[in-house]
Amino acid sequence: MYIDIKTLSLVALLTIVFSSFAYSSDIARTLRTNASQESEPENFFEIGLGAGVWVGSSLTDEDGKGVGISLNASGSYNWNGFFIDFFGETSEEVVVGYNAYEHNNWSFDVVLGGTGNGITQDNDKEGLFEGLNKREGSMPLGVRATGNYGENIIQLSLKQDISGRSQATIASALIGRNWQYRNWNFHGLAELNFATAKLEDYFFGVSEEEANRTNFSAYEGKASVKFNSSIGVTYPISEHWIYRATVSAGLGSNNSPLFAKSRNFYIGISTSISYVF
Amino acid sequence: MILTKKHKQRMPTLLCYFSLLLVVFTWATYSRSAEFNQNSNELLVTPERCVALRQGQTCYQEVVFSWRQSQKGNYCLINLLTKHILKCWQNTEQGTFNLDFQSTQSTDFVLRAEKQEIDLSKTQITVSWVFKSSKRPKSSWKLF
Repeated sequence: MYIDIKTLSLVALLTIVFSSFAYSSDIARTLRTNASQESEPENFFEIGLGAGVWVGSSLTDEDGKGVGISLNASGSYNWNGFFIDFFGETSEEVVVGYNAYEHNNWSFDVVLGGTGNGITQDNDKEGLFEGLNKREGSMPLGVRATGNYGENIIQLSLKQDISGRSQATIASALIGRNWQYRNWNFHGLAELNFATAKLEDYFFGVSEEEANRTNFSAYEGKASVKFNSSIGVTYPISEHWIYRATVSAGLGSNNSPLFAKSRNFYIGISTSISYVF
Repeated sequence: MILTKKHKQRMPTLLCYFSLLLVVFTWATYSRSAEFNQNSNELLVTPERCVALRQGQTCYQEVVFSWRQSQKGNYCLINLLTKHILKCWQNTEQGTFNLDFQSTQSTDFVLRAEKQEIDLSKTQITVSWVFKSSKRPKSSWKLF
């Protein structure tokens, strides 16, 4: 998770929901660490310091550009097939799951996630969204299948919000691959993500009542298809320190009037140094 | 920091202790260094550690071996894991060798007199990693 020092909180929170810089599972970590299919999932906790620049849609920045320094923390705990991942490279802040079935190259998990909140009074310090109803985090429950074919990983997932808030259905398909060149571990990842209209409508829609109370025009969310991709490298500095660098890019429209700047693409570059306990 | 009269009285004693500590530390460092230089039968490698991201990965490291013996002779540097002779030197008492180390595990290296089996000096390149990797047991259905 990135905790921006600059006041990019709204962008960050909604980025998590719409997975602009993130992916819907730990496939990114698996690729980054060059873990094989035969490996046990590992327990870990790491903290780090990162920096990044991005260009894309923004709720608060009229230029839709940002530079930030961040504190990162992520971890995972696994026990008898059960797992909990938190603040990983995922679209959900916390994922609780169970590895239910394995067959040949495929592994099947039942997963329950918890996303970040959307627009709330707490994170809207500048009062940009005063008068809007409070949005709260979703809890997507679903299944995901992960297939390993050599250096390639494929992951398919289907989830439904069970919190009763967004009530959205989200489906995603990812393909990733890793390479090792000396001690540098490279990875590439591409994702196609589909979400029903309820997702955008809940987080970025503006009802007639809200439009009457604010300067925002009414907007009804639409079903969305987004493309996310990233290439990155991980380098072990020592037994406890690792260096990471990532370039992310994606496509997907954001037509909500809540956005200060709307673009149908994003590009981000980030780098970090983390301590692994 | 405010020094009281009591503190000021203790200052010479403290300075004495500090000076003594400094002398002991300097002597210890010098004697260790002298001992290192006098030990002519040595085989050193720098750096001694190679760090991979994950256990089981091949670790890559450019290393330099340097060795010295008390007498001139024909000596060979050997990888003990693979039993491979890396290089032999003729009629000399010292040498260096650059190696592009590539291994999944820690490896011992020795210096031996040519065509001899006795290790004259020994050193190790330790392979370590950030993330452990343990084998997952084979299973199918886990639920129910």
